[in-house]
Amino acid sequence: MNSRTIFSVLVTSAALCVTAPPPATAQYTRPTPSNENKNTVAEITQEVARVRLQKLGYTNIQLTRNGDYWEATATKEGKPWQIRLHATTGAREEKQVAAPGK
Amino acid sequence: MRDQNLKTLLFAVVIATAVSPAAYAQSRPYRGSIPWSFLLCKFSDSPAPPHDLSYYQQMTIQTGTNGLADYVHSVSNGAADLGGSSVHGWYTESHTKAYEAALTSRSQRLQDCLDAAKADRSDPYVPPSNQRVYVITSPGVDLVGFENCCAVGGDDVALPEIAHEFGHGIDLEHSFSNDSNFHDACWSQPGEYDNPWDLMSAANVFVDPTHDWGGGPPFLDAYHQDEMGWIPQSRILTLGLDGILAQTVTLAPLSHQETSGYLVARVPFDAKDLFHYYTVEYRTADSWDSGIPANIVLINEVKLNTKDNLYQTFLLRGAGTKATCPTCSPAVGPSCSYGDGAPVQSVNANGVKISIQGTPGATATIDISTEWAMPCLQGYVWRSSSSTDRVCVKPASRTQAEDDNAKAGSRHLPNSDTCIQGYVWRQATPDDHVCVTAAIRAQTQNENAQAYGNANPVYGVYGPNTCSDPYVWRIADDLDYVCVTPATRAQTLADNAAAGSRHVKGSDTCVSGYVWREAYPSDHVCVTPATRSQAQSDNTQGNSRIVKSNL
Repeated sequence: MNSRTIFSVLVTSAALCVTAPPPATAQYTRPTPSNENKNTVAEITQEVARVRLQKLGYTNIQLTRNGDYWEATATKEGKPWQIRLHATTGAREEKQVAAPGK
Repeated sequence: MRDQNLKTLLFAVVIATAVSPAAYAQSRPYRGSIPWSFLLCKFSDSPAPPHDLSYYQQMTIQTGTNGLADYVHSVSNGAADLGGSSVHGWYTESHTKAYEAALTSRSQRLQDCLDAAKADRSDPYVPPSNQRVYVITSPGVDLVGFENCCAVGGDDVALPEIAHEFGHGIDLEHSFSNDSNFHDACWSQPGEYDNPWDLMSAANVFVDPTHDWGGGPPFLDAYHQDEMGWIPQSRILTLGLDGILAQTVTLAPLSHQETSGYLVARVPFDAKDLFHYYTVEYRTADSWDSGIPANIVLINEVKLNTKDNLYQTFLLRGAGTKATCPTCSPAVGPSCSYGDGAPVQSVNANGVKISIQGTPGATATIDISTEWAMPCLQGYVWRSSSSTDRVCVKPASRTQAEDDNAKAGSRHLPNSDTCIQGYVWRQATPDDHVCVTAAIRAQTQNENAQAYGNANPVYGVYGPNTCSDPYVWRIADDLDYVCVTPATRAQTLADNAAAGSRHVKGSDTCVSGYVWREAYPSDHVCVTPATRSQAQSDNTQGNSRIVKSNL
């Protein structure tokens, strides 16, 4: 964007501002999007994912990253499980799997 | 770079001229109700949402459900609530999910839901101007928060993320660690989101996965609670304000205000920047912190992040395990870490020493010292009975201390710490066993009690709610960080002292001529109507009286 374009937009904006009628009543106004690309929640790290699974009683946790998910194989009460943990929302799917040889 | 600056300027000017300023009545310090409007919106082609209105009411605004309202009550130490909040929907937007997902303006997603709510025929709704807004869409197309304003999330949003965006809504910023090799996402700064013990690093936080609503979020770290005005003043130790530069401190768990002890220790060290200091806090793996791995003492460095021009918390932790850098443009690195370094349990830097005694249990015992000290008012000097004694006294007292120090060897029993008859320990500092007369000891204790009054308050460290000159905290109670004139503060303290005589006997009702002050919602101290008006007026000043460099 060059300076001429910037000036043009500034003038247009100012004109719109002057000619726009004031709001009739106090009401919600659109937020100032000064941080459009900030404040998306973070991705869960492997360490944090592991602690969450430990808190659920899993042991022998093996984590791998697959796209938006942490995928884990783990053991609970002596039985093997597969778990998918969404790396942003934390949504979880847990599935008990057959033990090897069964 | 110059062109980029021009673009930034243009953006700011256009937004400033095209959008009315937000008219939020509230700002920190927060006390009482923080009302939010939660709006539920689906798109023209959305399937039936997975949850009804009642589900989100229970998750967000109802108390007793272990949801957001209970979290806010706990993390604010009972100072704040969601009173006045409401949930509305489901509204149907005119656009498809694909259209909304493709929008480049994230705030437009919020606006489209607001427009749908306003235009709805059966339950039209426009959020009051003083409320923050949280839009939940079904299905989800974004997860974002805007400072001091609003947020957008999906129908599967979990409580930790709702709480995190609530935090942004009341102007909280992200937390960081000192691991500059940690890159959570391409758009995040080095170390950003690397404090899993603090809500403001969500979703990268230690969540209790057995909790309702998708998991229980951890507490805010002490600095963020302090920023909101949610830690009682008497539960914050600022090392050195009393002239004593080394102390052994008992810390109560941050989420257990009922346990006696300080909730946070501030350890100043930077005479050039009074907002640059360490904080020490203790966290136990229970209550809202059930998701953290184990009980732990956490040490943060609060410092100016020049990229954001804000003071932020940086958790001190060891270097993380070396990791492959994420693929980003521009590239991050050259080195990257998993952000898994253990939090440091001691500090020996910047003239500060911090160490933990034994294994923390119900409380943690911490040894802290600093070389930072407040300068004295004119006519006073540091007593300097030892290197950790910077109590401001008259020069004669300093001379007396020097004299007593010189005679110390002759006033102890042989091979003992015990004083000979006629002498007692001076205790200028907790470990001061120099033997002096009882009169000198009494004088020393008196000087200690007067220490802050003889120091120059301009150079004190007071944390994120430091008032700008000439204002001071009102201190109507221990959580009252509202900045007022010194005269108003004096009036407040006088009214508190007179409170007992202004109530109808055996009642909460004020005698004739007096009304409840209501400096905060449950403030029933009886004052004159004029004083009450002053309190209401001061409350509306919000953060306009807080030191700007710290906002």
